Amino acid sequence: MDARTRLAGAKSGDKKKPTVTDKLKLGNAAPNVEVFQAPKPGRDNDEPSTSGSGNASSPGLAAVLSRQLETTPVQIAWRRLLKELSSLPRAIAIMGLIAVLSGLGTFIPQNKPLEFYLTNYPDGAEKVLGFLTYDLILALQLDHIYTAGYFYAALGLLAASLTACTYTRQWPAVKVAQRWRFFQKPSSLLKQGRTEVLPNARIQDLGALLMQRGYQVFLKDGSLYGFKGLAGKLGPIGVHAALLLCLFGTAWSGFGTLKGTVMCPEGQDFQIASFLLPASPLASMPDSAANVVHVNRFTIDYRPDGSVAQFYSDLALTDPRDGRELLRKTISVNDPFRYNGVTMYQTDWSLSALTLRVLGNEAPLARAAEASQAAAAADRAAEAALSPASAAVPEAGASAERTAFNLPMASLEGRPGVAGRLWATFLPLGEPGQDGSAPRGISILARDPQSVVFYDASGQFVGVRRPGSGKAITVEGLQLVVEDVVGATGLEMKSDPGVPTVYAGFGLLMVTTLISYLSHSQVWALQQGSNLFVSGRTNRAKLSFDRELDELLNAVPELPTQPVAAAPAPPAPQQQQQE
Amino acid sequence: MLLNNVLNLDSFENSLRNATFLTLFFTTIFYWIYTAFYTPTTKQNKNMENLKTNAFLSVFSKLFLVQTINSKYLQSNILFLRSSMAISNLLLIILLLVRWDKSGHFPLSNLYESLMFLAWCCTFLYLIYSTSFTILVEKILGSIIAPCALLMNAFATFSLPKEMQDSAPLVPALQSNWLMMHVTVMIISYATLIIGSLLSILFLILNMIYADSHIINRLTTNNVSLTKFTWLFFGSNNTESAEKNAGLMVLLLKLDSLSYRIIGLGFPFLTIGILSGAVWANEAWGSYWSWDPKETWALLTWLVFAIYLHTRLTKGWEGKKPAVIASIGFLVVWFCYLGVNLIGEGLHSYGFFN
Repeated sequence: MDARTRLAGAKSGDKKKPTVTDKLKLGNAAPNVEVFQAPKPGRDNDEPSTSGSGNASSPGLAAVLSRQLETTPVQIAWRRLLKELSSLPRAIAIMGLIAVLSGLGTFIPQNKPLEFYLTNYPDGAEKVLGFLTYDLILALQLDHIYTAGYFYAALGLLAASLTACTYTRQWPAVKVAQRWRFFQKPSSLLKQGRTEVLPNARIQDLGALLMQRGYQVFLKDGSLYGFKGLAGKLGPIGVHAALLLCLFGTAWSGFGTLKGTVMCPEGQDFQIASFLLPASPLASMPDSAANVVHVNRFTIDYRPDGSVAQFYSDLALTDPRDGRELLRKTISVNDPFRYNGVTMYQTDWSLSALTLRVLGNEAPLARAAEASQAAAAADRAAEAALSPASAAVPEAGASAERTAFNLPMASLEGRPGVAGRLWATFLPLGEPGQDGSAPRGISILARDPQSVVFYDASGQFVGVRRPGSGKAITVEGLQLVVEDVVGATGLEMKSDPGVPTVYAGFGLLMVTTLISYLSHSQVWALQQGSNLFVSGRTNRAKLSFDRELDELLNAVPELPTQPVAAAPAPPAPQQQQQE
Repeated sequence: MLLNNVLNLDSFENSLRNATFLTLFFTTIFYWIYTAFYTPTTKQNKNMENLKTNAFLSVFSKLFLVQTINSKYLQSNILFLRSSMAISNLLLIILLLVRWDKSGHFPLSNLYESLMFLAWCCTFLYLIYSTSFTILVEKILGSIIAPCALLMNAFATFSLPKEMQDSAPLVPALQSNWLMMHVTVMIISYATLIIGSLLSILFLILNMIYADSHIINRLTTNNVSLTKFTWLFFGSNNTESAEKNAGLMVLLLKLDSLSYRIIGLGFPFLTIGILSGAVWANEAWGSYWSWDPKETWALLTWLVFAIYLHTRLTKGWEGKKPAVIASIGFLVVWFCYLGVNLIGEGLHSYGFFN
């Protein structure tokens, strides 16, 4: 235990915050107070005193060191580690490193397949920038910088640096700032900051003026201490804490997330759990993932100019054990489906099938229709009811002049000659050729559910129809009516346990960075005879504090000189303004 | 409230476009002329300083106080400049309101609108910070902000192709209340950081003229009495050059302080902007951080300015080094705002450069 704590009478390990009684007691003590509370000469107690070499010059670190009485090698190593981690230039270097690595990841496309890097960063004469080849990229993990080990290491180092800095510098500095320090000698005032002397002034006047300007003022025995904006001192600690919370939350997300995508056609359903993939073995499947989602309807709202206004999916969540509907909601982009930890977002869509009706009594289809009618009559003899037919079978009970088909559509996106999204289906009009070649038939294409385009057997464009309009189109001698285009909704599902923590960290960070803008200003004053010594300092808005102090000192009224006093005070040099 | 006749609105918007450009152009010219050729004396500076004692006066009444100003010279000079900037500010507000009325959604959905909003933020910043220091500092601030806003306005109006200037209805991903919060705060933060960095660049340029940078370094972060400091130069060596040097050093200190305060305000706004964007992304597609180029560069900007704020705490690094970092930050902010669109892919490529 060092001299300071011994003088104050505290026991070893006694770290309780000084109460008001304690402060007064200490204030009433004789010269020991000065030694206890005044900063060492030349040292800046309030700012985190940093230097390039990071030596143990801060009072916080000294306090930390003083608490460690033993000097085992572990303790020495720990102290050394803390000192290295809390060095500000090092922290700045770590931030710079993360910045550079992040920036690099925006110039080199990330997470692309191997062929991408082979073609775009070739070895040989056309090396990018003269040295950047694909094996350099892959060796340095530059194709996945944000998930590379060294990136995580840099983030971890930043977290350690934040923690060390808060522990060794910021927190002790706050404790120092919170102590009321009353100075008894003008020389101690000089060490605090800018010091002025006002002859013929009263300390109470200064105190009143300070209070008018929002300072908290404490007056004792001719010595004054005032401060305002203490939050500006606490803000940076809050910022560090919030950053640590964010980092911890993202780490938790990184390990505990389950996510997946599903493209489910209208009318179908899927179980959530079969599409959720864990990010790591530590992720646990939530209970609500056992439920089944049924897609009732998927619609796209279009504007008059043809652009998309919004995507809507009508979803129903049911419990598979008893079929009970748990939640039904129509979701859209920016309005997800949430249930018990699983969230489903509207992110994609596609066309899954086309419902086509053929009018007329054409040969190939009529044969099929007759055959099915015969089968239907036979079945009707056997059973009472006949369920409606599903895909690719003519509708039971249809007369010979009406047959409807449900044709599945396939995506042609990315094929040569295809720009953008395109789905297509094919209605065959004959048997496949003897040599196995494709049969002749009608090609039907669609880019979105609004319109369907028909091409005849030779690939010639025939016409466009709007689904549900009922208007027939004649292709290859057949009269076709597009009844409906069945869409599929693309949902992104996620279960992320780290989100509440991350949101808490975000909220805290937003508030604490704002609070850190405040300037923490302190003013000390000492009355000696008729002279008033004033000293002030601040940590942020230094020049405006300088001006504020000027105004303050100008506002302190000058008292009339006492005629009987031992030495008549010299006339006041400055102009005064009466408040 | 406003005209519902589309034709009237279009021509009104057109005239507003031209009006904003012209007012900003003339504001720039006025500020440059008055800063270069009319320098107020110390006494006039002091007169203006005394007006700032009452903290409860609102910004605009402080700006346009007429009665208490002694010098007619000052009265016409600086008030004229402030009015010019205020008129530009007002016209930009009206332009944005007209666009809001026309398109039905908040006027911040494409590059044109965000540039106009950025120009408005710059002029508004001027009105907020104009009375922080002396007239000379205010004129210098105006001489930087006015051309900045003018360039943004001119680029948006004359350089962007017509189809990028038209207000289009929002795509589904942008139909959210978060649009107002996230984009607004980001643009405000860009404006503050750009202006703060420009002041730092000016500080570096002036610093090169005056070689005694070690004094500046010590003074920029210590609690200094400016009046005492100027006395040191006035009292000891009463020559013309000493007075000039003292004036320049004081000016540099003020520029440094103003730059620090403006960036210190921009940093929390940048934080709020980035984080609200992250929350929006999580609500829209389930991922609060996907290393999108724009997101990454916003994080980079945040890191650069965090480094700036931290270098001001390091002893021995005051004055010049933070200013250099803020200057780098200037380039980073512009790349974050416009440059990432050149990279091509990402979630933020809403009809920018193709």
